[in-house]
Amino acid sequence: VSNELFFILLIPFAGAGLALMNSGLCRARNAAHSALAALCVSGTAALAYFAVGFAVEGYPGSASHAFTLAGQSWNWMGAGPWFLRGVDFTASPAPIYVLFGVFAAGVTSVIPLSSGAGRWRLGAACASAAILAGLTFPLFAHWSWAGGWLAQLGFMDNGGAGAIHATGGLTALAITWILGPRRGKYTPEGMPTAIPGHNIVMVLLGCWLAWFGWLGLNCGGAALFALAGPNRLVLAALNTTLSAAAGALAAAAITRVRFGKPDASLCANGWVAGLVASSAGCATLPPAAAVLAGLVGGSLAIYSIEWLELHLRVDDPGGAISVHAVGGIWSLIAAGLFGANWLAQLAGVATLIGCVLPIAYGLNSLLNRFYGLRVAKEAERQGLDLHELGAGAYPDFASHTEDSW
Amino acid sequence: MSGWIIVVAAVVCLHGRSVEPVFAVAGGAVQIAGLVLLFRTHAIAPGERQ
Repeated sequence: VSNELFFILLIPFAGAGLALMNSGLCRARNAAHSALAALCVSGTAALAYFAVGFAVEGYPGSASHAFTLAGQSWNWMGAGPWFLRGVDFTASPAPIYVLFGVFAAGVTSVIPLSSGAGRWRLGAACASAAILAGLTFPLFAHWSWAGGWLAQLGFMDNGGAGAIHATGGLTALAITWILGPRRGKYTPEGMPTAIPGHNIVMVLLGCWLAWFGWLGLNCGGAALFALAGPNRLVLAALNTTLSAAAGALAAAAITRVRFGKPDASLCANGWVAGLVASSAGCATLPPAAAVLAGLVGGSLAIYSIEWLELHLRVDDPGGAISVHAVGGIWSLIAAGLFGANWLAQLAGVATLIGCVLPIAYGLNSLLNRFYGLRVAKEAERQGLDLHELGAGAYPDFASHTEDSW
Repeated sequence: MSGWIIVVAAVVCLHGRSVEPVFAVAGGAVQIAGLVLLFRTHAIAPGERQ
């Protein structure tokens, strides 16, 4: 347990890193709101996971609901009691899974925040996080980690490429569709305008913190769900780092070739995309395969960000959809290409797109109907710091002087 | 969702048969087509400011 606990205690750094990146990539007038939202949704996610999530997810060998198909029994949902009632904190393996789940649910809930930056109400973001941590994340986590039907098929997801990153990224896509783009993002002719982040140093510092967090996610996940021993954990940490390095350098090379100079925010996205790309097969991929996964992951993120913004008119300020959804799906495919059962990996990807995305979209649309997700027009112009918190992040500075959106 | 059902049906009900990968890939293709439709539906038209 000591190995696992050490790695699991690193996981909150992933949430902190993503929160810093989200804050740096948004406008100055939304910076405090973005940081507070990350803290609030992490707290909401922890409580929702404690109340319902762990009962839905369970852990390998725990009680679960099952159905019979093609002559075989398939587990589809945990059957534990709510509010952690009945969890034995003295002799059972459950507590370490609870702790991992609480932290992982928090990281998953922070991911969609960057897509809704500048227009997502704080209360609505917390309500959405409760749905994500209480149902969507634990359901897929049960299927892939806790002996569910995907695990029974041979699906491999050591570090949470599907359960954490793709689930968070696809929820970000659903949120972006529901919210629509920020005001002023697209001209009347449909052309996107550049709205740069306000603090790139914060974004890059977030990358460093996220690295620690991913070491925790990948090594902790590999220890708990793939029963990786010490040597395999070293491999997981090495693969995580190599993949991130390859992702960042791929992004730097691509932006250098295309724009003449490396783009710092896209390099940061490439770094995180590399981290995500390492997740699914972190404890089994050979290091060279991890480098390749990171190279492709970083490159995919860059082109996906551009494609979403220019051609599909999806306004994703922090790039969460490209980095986490596309990167997570690529990570699952890469694990299939380099050793895992590729049909099981395909089934996992199909489940994310065909089941997790509709659940996220449906529940958040329902939430939007009863408790609007988007702030008022005037609040968006004023900035969410002043409108929702009553004070800006940088009171000594003029955060914006132009009268445009 | 129909693509997902095709993929899951293929890997569960046709497990080990030669047509299993064909059906699974076909299900994946149906999903891609569905995603394209979803993105087209949600893309704001030029001139429409949110």
